[in-house]
Amino acid sequence: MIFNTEYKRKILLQNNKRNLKLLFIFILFFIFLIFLFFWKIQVIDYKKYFLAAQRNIIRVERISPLRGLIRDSKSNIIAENRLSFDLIIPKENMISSKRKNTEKEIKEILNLLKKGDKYELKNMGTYYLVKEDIPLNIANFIFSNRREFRYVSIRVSPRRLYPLGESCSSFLGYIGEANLNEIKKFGLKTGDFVGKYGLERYYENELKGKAGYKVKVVNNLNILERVVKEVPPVAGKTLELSINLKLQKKVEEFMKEKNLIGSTIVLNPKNGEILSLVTTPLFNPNLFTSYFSKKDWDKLISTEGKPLINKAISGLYPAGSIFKLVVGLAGLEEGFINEHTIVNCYGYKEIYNKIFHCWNAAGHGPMNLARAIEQSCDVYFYVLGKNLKVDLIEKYAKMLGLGKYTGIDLVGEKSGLVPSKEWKLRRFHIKWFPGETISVAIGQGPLLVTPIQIAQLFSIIANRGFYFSPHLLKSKKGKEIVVKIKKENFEKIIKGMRLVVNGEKGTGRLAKIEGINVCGKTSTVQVISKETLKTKVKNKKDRRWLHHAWFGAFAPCEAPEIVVVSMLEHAGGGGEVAAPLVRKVMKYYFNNIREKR
Amino acid sequence: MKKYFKYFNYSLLFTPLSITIIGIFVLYSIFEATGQAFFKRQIIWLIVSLIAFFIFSILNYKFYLNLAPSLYLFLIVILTFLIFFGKRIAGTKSWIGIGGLGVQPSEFGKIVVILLIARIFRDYYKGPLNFIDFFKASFIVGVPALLVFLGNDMGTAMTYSFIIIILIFILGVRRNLLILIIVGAVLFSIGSWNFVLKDYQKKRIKVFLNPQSDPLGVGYHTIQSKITIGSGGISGKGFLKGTQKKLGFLPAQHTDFILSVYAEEFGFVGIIVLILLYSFLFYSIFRVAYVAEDISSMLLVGLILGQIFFQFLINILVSLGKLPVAGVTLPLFSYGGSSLITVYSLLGIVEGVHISKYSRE
Repeated sequence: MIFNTEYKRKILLQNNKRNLKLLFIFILFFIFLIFLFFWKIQVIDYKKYFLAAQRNIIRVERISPLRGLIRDSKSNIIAENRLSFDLIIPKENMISSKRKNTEKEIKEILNLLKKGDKYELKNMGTYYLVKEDIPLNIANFIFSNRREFRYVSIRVSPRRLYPLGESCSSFLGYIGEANLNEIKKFGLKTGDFVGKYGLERYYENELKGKAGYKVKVVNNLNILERVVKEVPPVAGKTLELSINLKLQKKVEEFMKEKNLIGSTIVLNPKNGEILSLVTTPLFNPNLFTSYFSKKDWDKLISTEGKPLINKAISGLYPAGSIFKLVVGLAGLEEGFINEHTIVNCYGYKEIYNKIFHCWNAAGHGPMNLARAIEQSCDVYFYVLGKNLKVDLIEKYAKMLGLGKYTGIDLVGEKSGLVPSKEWKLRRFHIKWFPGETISVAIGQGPLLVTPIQIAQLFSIIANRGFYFSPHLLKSKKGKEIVVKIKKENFEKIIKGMRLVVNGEKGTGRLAKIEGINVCGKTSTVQVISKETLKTKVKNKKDRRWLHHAWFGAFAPCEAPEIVVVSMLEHAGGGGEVAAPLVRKVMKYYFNNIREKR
Repeated sequence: MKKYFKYFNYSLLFTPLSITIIGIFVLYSIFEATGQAFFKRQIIWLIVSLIAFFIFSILNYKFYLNLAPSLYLFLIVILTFLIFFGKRIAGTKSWIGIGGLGVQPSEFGKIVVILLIARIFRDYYKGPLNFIDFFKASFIVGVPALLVFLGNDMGTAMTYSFIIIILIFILGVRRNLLILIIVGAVLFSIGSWNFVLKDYQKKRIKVFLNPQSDPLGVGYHTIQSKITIGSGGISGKGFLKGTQKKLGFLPAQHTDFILSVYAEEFGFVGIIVLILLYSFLFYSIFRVAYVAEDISSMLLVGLILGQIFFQFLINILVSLGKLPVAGVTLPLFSYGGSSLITVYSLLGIVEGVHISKYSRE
């Protein structure tokens, strides 16, 4: 029995030991498995995890470059940069497990800002923007309490500043957040600002500069451990403009005090430099430097006179009587008239069985070219136009820069329209009626021009046959362009233009300046026919039924220094409204800007 | 005493000692990066552990097998006490503060439970476990495990259950009972998922099944651990040169994820060395159990082997992202006084069994 029990025990122990052995084999199997796991992770997938480790600790921070400065010809600053502090949240801090803490911190900061506790998260790629442009003291407080504010961050970035407010807005244009196309076109990042209009857009590539970056090693709290590499950003180029800020501000003042809507361009015909370019109403481009509210935007958009559109380059208007200069030049050059050719004006002229009225119903009497320009006699040019035919008029208009881009360094320029037989056929599939030429001869009909084209036209006349493309950037002076029209023919036209201002019956006498020989031309564009106004319009005093007023001039006559062109929408007669404005501008120029010799 | 040194099994002391010393180097590396001076305290714990090792190896194991029932009662009292008055460290209430240091009775409790199980089954020459005996063992293990669980230390509570698994493994069970156990385990899992596990514990498991679902939240630990290990490559980044530990991406890097730090700095080569050391240790313990002449010593050493091995396995699988984060430390390697002393005490018991066998001869 004892033996039996002893034997049984031994057998059982052996059994248990066999189990034990199995346990050990089991252990060995798992150890082998562990080796395989480590092999996979450390040898086969090494690259993947190595890169992940790199990403884990390295953060690349982009450093926004400073946008290029914009200065006037006397080095006054027109556009610069300031620092802005934006409250942001890195995206990883909005995951579910951290969200609560993050939101708590935001609430705390909003309390400090006293801005209520509503906020919106703006997706900016790697982070969310909570509040932009927070005050310096609050930003400082957050910086110095990094331990308390772990989830929110402050992004310091340069921001555009226009220290003059709305002054110069006409040509500066504005900036805005880059859209997808712009990001691609200019190599930007989400949230970057880009020039949207005006100079800011035209010179975007020069102004934008190059972003720098900082390669940082951070710990799991995203707190900086050290900076591995730093490439500083490169600021954009400074634009030196031909603008004279003093003159620019004065012109703005002149236009604003009379509440005028339109454009006034002052340029130097000798090199095409624009000294001042104003289109009213002005707007404050600083509004665009941060994300502005819909309310502000709606207000801006609904302002009368479309402040965001540069009417000097993209406003299309009938040229009116100013076009008579072109027709006159064509007539002289083609030999249809000379300075002595006389046309009798009875206040109207019947051509092609249709009555064409002169603006002066009483009639001007016998007119030579100079007188016809002085008094802006329509009949003289009806006759000349009829003889020239539309295609010759078109030829000279194009030679004198109408109907095509001037190439000014601003975006949004329009080319205007100079009609021709071919144009009409192409556009409307209808033949040109000779009667239409008669309207075109006095600057009506389908003819459309921009104020900058007219300023260029006046430069050509002032220079007696050559010009430079108008430009704002001083260094952008192009080549001298010669117009193939005889100098003496320009002189004949200029004779009339001098009478416009200085003659007894000149339509632009209000532009006369004692001691300076100003040459000019008025133009008054009807926006509605007299009959329609009388019969169909209820509120006859409404501003929009007023004429467009043009006045272009250069001075001094013998050696022109400046060209001033003013185009005022719905302001009244060119001689009554635009001429005095041009006079004021010229006077200011000769008294205060012109360099004393 | 002469006999003691004559039959002393040096591999049972020097293998674990090498592992712990390597661990101290890793703790030093963590200290370098984060300023957390765990390595200093670990050296003190190691000295205490060695003392415990010698005490347990010198005393005859039969002596404390007899002491086991009273020790067990004492353990139950302490664990119950801890649920109400325990010092809260890292969310668990299983600590007793002694001076500035915390002690975890639940760790030492494993020794007591192993001893009691070995004692109860010392004369178990009945073949495979029957239902009543299985129930008895489950009860003995389950009561302290439940108390530890109530103290909010799920990881340690889980390691208690290894004792039962090993017991079944060594003694075997009847087939019917095995089926019953499996069904019971499944029901238990479902039950605890619905009624016992806290939300954060459930989330751990859910995220484990799909760590990318919340890469910066709960799955973070698993992913960071894998990155840390993987970026070590074959030869590692070099001692003190790990980048992950330095920047604190890895949580609990001195305890649960210490192996990841080691793997980052010493690479696959380092892992081979370390795992081979462990394997040799497991083999040494296995030898002692295998040559045992009675069921009580075989069971005792076998339970110790299984206990250490399962903790080792779970910890490594967690580091590798093969198991959800469980809160189980790597025995001998991780920082932790109670755990270190416990493992060295268990190894001391094995040494004692070894010596007493040969000194009898």
